[in-house]
Amino acid sequence: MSSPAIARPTTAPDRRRTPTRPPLTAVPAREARKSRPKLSYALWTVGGVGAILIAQLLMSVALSHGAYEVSSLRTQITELGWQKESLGEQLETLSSPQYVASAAHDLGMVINSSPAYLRLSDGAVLGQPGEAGAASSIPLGPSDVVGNSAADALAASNAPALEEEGAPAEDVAPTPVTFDDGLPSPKTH
Amino acid sequence: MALAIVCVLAVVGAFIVRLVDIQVVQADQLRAVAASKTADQSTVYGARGEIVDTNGNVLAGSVTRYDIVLDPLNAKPFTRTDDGGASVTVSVEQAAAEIGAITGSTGAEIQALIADALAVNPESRYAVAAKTLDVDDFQAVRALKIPWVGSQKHPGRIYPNGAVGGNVIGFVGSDGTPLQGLEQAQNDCLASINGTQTFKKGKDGVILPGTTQTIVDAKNGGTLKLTIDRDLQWFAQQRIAEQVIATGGDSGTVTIMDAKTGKIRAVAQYPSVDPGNVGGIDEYYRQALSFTAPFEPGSTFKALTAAMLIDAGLATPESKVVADGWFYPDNGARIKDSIPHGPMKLTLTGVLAESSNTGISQMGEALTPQQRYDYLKKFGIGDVTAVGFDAESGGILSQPDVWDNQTYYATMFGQGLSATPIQIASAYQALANGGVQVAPSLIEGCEHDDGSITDVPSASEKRVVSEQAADEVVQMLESVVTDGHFGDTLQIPGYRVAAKSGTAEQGDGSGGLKDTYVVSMTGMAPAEDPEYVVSVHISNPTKIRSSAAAAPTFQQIMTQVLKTYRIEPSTEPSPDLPTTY
Repeated sequence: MSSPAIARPTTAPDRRRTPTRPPLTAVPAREARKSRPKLSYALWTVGGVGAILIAQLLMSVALSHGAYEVSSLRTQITELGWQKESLGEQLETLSSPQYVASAAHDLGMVINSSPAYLRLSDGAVLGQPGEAGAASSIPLGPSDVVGNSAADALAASNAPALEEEGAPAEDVAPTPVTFDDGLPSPKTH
Repeated sequence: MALAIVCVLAVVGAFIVRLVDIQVVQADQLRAVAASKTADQSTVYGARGEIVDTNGNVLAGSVTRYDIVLDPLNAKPFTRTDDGGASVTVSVEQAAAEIGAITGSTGAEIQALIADALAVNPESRYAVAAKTLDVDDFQAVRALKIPWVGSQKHPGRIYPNGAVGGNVIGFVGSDGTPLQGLEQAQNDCLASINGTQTFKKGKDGVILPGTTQTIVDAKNGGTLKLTIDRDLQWFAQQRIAEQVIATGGDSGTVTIMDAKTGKIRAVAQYPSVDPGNVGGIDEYYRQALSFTAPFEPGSTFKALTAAMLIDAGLATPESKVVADGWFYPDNGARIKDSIPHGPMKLTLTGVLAESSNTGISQMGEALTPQQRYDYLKKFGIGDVTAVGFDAESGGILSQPDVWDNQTYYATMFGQGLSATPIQIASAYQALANGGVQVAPSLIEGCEHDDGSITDVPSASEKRVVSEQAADEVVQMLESVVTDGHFGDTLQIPGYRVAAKSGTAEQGDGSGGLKDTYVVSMTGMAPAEDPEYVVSVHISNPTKIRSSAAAAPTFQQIMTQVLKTYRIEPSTEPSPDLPTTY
């Protein structure tokens, strides 16, 4: 905490002249300096440590809280994943041809054995249209000749639910068809 | 003073020894114990690849299945908090009944399971109560919140379309081992690789964030895309099933093939396995008969002989022959037609329309056996097709030098050799495609997780007969529909259809012949530029024994094919080649 005091010659030495030595004096007493450390330093340090500790505590609380939140959200993801998987399985099974055909049959639909097409670009009828009545086509036989254990299991597990959902939605009005831009043309043949 | 120093040194020494013991000697062991309390690892399952049809519809999919396991040692009454917050005590009996109601067993059976496990080992902590529950049932069990009930998840397989395509898809065992069909043959594409991950968890089992480490990456299997159209496949299976039942037959197959590309759009059979219920069917019918079960094809092969004759320049559709009910050639063979008749003046077209064995035998003499053998080889008879299906048969076509006198003639009308339905369809594909055979294919390719596609079959082409020969045979086969025995049942309004019947004799395995036949109808439409080949075969029908049994099924399926692919109706009438002179 002390700096060396330097005695400076009052004049620069002159070589041409006989050097004159200045009279020796005692090192002047330095200004008394405070030897006691400042209180604020200590306060800052202790306060800093305290702040770090509190911050660390808060962060660790937040982090562990976050862990529980992450865990609960993961659980939610898992459960939604299960739901998705379950519905996906149902969808694939419900779209199986056996199921669709038997549903169509229940609605009274028959197979048209006399394919004919209406070409929208010029309104031409291609083929020989025939009545798609029960008499004109061979009806599908029993739908269980091509087995589907997945559909059977599904039908057994939620038959009532499907019946309910399967009710025809009679209130839905058909969207009116307009031909302002002319007749729509098919993109394929 | 000295004593104090010794004491201090002793204590310090003891500490140092213990420190070294803990930090160095026992370090690994203690670290392992610590890790075992906080760290854990789990298997990350890779999903087995899906098998999809040409439109992406899932034929075989991967799902998660759950086994329900019990902890018999701890199977005791417990307290359950219901939704209202009230606590109720649930007895073991009641809990067992609740589990049983979901897993399809009785409460008594569940309790017996616990009792049995404890009888074997009084400390038992493991008993399986149910296997392969689906996710809904698993969630229902989980919602019971029984503390001594746990679960193990593992990958499972689902076949949402049941028996549709089951014969080619094949199936996997309950442990996921591929056992049959494409599941087995294409396992390299479909198989997944399981991964491992480690993590650290707190006392309550919650995974600590940022500690999950993947040790081995799980790899999903590739998606196997088939050329099959699911809906057509189903229609063909439904129709062949109805007809096999109606005619009292053993079994039947249907092949639908794209005439331009050789892609197989349906390969139906009845009976066919439902991969989700393998035990429900006789083992023989779990295979794909269209690939594995050759038979003597019969008269459908007359079209091939006619194509050879025209290609070799030895006949035209108008070539003339007198076909009697019997034909006794000089070499001692005896040829007869299925229906007795007197001499008929038939053209080659007429021979096909009437399906006259005696007529084709006389005309076929113009070709040497070696020529006919070479042509049949070019049509793909006697060789396994490019599909290379598991256990596929190439049929039997013996060398011409071992043909006996009867076989010399019989091979002209599809007897004395055998072929699979795929080979027959492929031969007709060549006729439908101007004489060029495209190697048949069942698989579009295997799409991997990274988007790359492998295993795409090469659509190799080869010319079998000249374009003129092929086109003229198709025109002649139109006469079978317009002029033949089954015209009424074969015609499709608005379309030109070409087809050939077959009623083939079958050996009974002891040197004689069965009194039932394999009946066939194979053909293509629209005849002016064939797009699809359909081949229908029924084994041993008893109520209708002729190819009349196969005709209506052919017509129904061909109609459906034309509708499915929006094929435009024919604009020109059939050429109506003369059948007699």
